[in-house]
Formats: sequence, C-alpha cells, structure tokens
Amino acid sequence: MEQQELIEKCLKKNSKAQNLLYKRYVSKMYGVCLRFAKDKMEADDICQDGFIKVFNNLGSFRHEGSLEGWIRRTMVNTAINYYKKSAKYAFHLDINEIEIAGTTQESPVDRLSAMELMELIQQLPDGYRMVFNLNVIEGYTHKEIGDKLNISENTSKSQLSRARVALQKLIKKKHNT
Amino acid sequence: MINDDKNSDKIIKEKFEGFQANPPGHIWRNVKGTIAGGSSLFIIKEFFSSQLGAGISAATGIAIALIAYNVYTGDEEIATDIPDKNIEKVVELPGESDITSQTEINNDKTSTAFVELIEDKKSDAGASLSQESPGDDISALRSVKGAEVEIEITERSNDPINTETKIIDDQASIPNKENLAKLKATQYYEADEIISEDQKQLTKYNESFLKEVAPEIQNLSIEKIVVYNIPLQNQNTTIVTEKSISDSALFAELAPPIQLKDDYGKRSNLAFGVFYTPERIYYPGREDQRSNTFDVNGIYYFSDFLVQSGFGISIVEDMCDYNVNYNKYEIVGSYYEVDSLVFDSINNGNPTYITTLHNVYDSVNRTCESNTINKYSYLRIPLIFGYRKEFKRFSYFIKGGPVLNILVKSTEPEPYYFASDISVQHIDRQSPGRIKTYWQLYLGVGLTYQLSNRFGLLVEPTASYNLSSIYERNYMTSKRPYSLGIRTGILISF
Repeated sequence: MEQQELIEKCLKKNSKAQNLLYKRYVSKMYGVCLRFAKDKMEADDICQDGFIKVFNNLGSFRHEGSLEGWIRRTMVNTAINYYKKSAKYAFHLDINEIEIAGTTQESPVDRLSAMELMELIQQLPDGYRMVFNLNVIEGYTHKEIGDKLNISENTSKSQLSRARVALQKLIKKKHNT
Repeated sequence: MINDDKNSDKIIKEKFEGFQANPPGHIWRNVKGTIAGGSSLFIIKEFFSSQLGAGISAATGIAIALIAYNVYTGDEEIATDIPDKNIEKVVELPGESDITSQTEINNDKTSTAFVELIEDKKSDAGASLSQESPGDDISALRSVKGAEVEIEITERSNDPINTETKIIDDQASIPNKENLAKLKATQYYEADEIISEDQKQLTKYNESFLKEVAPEIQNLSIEKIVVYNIPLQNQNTTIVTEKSISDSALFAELAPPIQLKDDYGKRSNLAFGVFYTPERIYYPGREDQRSNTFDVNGIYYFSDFLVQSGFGISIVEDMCDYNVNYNKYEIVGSYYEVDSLVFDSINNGNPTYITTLHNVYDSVNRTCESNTINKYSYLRIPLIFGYRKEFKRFSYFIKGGPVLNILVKSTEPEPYYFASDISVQHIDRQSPGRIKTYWQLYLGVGLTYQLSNRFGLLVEPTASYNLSSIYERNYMTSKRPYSLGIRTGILISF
C-alpha cells in the first residue's frame, strides 16, 4: 500500500491500515524511544503515547517531508513532553563552570554495538540523556534544544559536555569489566 | 578535543541509524484501544461483541419475556369474560383528592361509592357509550343508601348525563364493617389494615352486582374496578386510595373474573438480591478490560431509602506480557571449503576451485514475546445507600457508596514460547502485577419490576471509579480506572 493511500485509510479509521502503518514504523520508533527513556517501561509509555498522537494528528501531516521523519519528530516531542511532565531533571550549570575532563585519543565507541551503546545512554541522568540524544543523534542545535526544553543555549551545551564525559566513563567502565 | 567529540558523535549517530528494536505487543493493543475508542461504530461493534452486550441483551430479553408473560396471563383471564382486551384509558374520578380524614364506616349511615372504570374505546360497546356521552372522560358515580343504589353517569365536568336509582335486594352484596372483620380472619389480612389501621373504608362489589346496578357497564371491557366508599358527611374529603383497594386480595376474591391489573406486589422492608454484572473497565493508556461480577446482597428499605450490602465475586481477565530470552543453536553463517584446485591448461592456466559449502552453527541469544491471559478474582463487599420511588409495579432508584475489593485468587499461567529447541535464559515480566486491595466508589441508577409479592427484577446501569490504581507499578499509580456496566438480578422480598 502506498504511503498516500495508507494515510488516507488511516484517516478514515481503517483498522487494517492503522495496523499496517504501526507495523511499518514501530521498530524504528521504539528504538528512538528506548534511547530517550531510562528503561523499557518508560519507552513503552512514550512509544504508546507517541503513536496515539500520530494517529490522532495524522491529518496535520502536510506531505512536505517523509512520513517517517514526521513520526520520528512526534516521538521525540512526546519524549520531551514526557520528561518535562516528570520534572525529574534540572539544568543548572553554566558552560563556564565546567571543567571538561580529558577525552581519550581513540574512542572505544566503535567497539560497542548499538544495543550496548543504547544501554549506556539510558544510564545517563535524564537531562544529560535528553540533550545528548537531541543534539548528537537527532541533530537539533543548542538553540532548538533550549527552546524545546525551556533552557538556555549554554545550559544545553553544558549538559551535552557533561553527558559526553559521563558516557566516556561508562564506556571505559564497560570495557574494563 | 572538538574533533574527537565530532568523530565520536559521528560514530554514535551512525550506529543508531536504522536502529530498530522489537516493541512489546501490548503497545499496539493499547494504541488501538485508544484510537478506536472514539469511533461510535467501534463502540457499537465492541458492545455487541462483548460479554457486556451479551449480558444486557440477555437481561433485556428475560425481562421483556417475564413482563410479557405477566401481562399476557393477566389479559388472558380478562379475555374469558371480555373479548376485547385493549385498554386505552383510565377514567379518573371527579374530585379525587388526598385523604385528609376518615370516618369509621357505619352501616346505618348512607354512604357514597365511586366506581372507576377502565373502558375500551375500541370496542363497540365503548363506541356506543361514547355516543351517549360525548365527553372524553366518563365516570360512573353511584350513591349507596343502604340497599338503595343511585347511579350517576357523569362527564369529567361532573355534569350528570344519566341518573337512575335501583333497589338492591341482596343486602349481603354490600358488605359492612362486620362482614369485613369476618373476612379478615378467614380470607385476607389486608382488610384489617384497611379498617383499623388506615381508617379507610372498603365496600366490595362483585361483578354481577356492578352489572346489575349499572347495566351499561356490561358492554364495556372492564379491566379494573376500584371502589371508593365515602361516608356522606365527609364526601369531599375521604377517599380510599386506589392502591389500598388494589392491594387487597379481598376485592379480587369477591370478583374472581376480574383480574386486578394493579396488584403491584407486596413491598416489604427486607429483600435479597442475586445479581450479575458484566462490566467494561477503562484504564487510561491501557487496553480495556472486562469483568464479570456475581453478587448476593441484602437490601433493607426504610421509608424511601435503602441500605444494601453483601458480598460478591468479581472475575477480571488481564493480559500479561513477557519477554522470553533464550539461546538457540542456529546458523550464523557459512563458508566454502576448498576441496581441490584444478588448473585449466587450455584457458591460460586459470585455476578452478572445487569447494564445499559448510554452515556455521552457534548458540544465538534471542528474545521473543509471550502473552498470557491472567485471571483475578476479587471479593467485593459493598456498602450502598440509596433512594427509591415506587410507581405501580415499578420502582426506580439511585444508589451509591464504597466497595471494598480484596484479591482472593489469581491465576497466572506460565508464558508460552513456541520454539522447542531453545534454552531459556530468563523470562522478564513486562506487565505490572495487581494490588491486593483497593476501594471503588459505586453509583447505580436503575429500575425494578415487581413480578409478584415475592419476586422482582432489577436492571441497573452502574459506574465505578477506583480510588487507586489496580497495579503495583509505581508510575502507574496516578492512573485510576473506571468502569461501566449493567447489573441485572432477581430480588426476593421477605
């Protein structure tokens, strides 16, 4: 079924089309959710809420980009909202206050599988993980991150720097064990 | 350092490009349940395919059948004497008012009786009567003076259109207080209540008497005759209530061919009910669940209020998801083993490799999903307060109160995994467990239909709201389910 036809049928509440759309994108989207969540349970909730938003707002998709990209942005926004509501994270350090730890000459990141790397990212504190995901993987600028999370650009940068350091430590620790 | 970061970021980004993970099955079920929930078609389809719908349909069918049977059998008795049993209108008495005072009947005094008729306008007799009395509402007004009966056929406006007087030879057909007192001991106790407790007066007439004194009613389809006997001195203030007369089996016994349609059944203070309630449980963010509840409750009525309690068993089915992590010995790749090498001397000595394909096997770690349907049985203890109003055979009510639910039994089958040649490493339960005890607030609005003095039927749409989550998992505690159902049952009065 073509994308356009699929969307039209979904808008008509055709359950088969809805299931097809879900199956087509859920694996990738669940991967995104896992990165943003701190555990599988949270990923389940984000993925579920995200797809409910996708189906409820499918009519607002303008066909200007890919449907996958639109669904992905919906998932990311759902994850952001999820953490905003939980208010479990805090951004309080300025970039100038940070003493960046030395980085290793050669990154051992490439020796990790995506799943292993994701498990390490999940161990990052909520704020670090959020900024790291948005900047490094999703490609958001610090200004965009600041707007979405209601923080300053500098705070976003500082969170990213700290996330990098924390992630390196986790990677080292994993390699040493 | 910046370059290092960029390289590292690039590697990480590349690793996650196209990264996929298998989501648990319950996500789609919950999404489907939520997005389809708003569709009216979906609701209707789900309703009729659900146990709830089946329960409502069954209860409605049984109720209709019982009521129809009740009505039919009643009409059948009337039909033996009265061919046309279609009843259109109840003729009301002129000047009917609430009882404000009563005077004990005195046989020697002259009294007046109102006779209320239910006529069949479709019958020929009704048509002829209508011709004689053009008014819409016809009443028969009779004055009884000892053995002398004066009959007045009046319009609703009380203007007499026909009056005649007859002498009743059979004095015994007009019972007096003494006769009623005798009847009390031998026939029916309600006669006593009417005389001594309510101070209301009852005069009974059998059908032949009425036909004798009022020949015109012989051609009417009489379904019910209600007699109001009023001492003349209090003519405008004393009326025996219709219900009092109707409740009296005395009247029915003295006029056996006439079936009293308004024998609403005795209303007692204590009743027991056996109920069945199919419910649909709506949990925010999760798939709807269904439950079936069987209750045995005692109900105590006082005035227009009621208190209800008892116990019941509620059985709920809930889907549980598991991730099964296992090792499986399977092909992880293959290679060609060179068995021999041949050089082609004709074609420039090109080598030809003779190979054999070998598969490589290893233990591979995999994860699959498994679902089970768990059953949970809760003991339900309600404490319900309510208000009810009676209307002939029907009474309608509203009631509510807390309900304590205690988990008494849970059946959680082992997850099923399809593969046989696997080594299960560990099984992770994905769905949260149930809590042992929770409270609900209950609200019900319903209707009862009294089949007889002892038995009644009840239909009651219900709504319940949980005061806490039903799951153990912490972050779901803020989500409280609510449920809608329909309670049907049989009431037994004592």
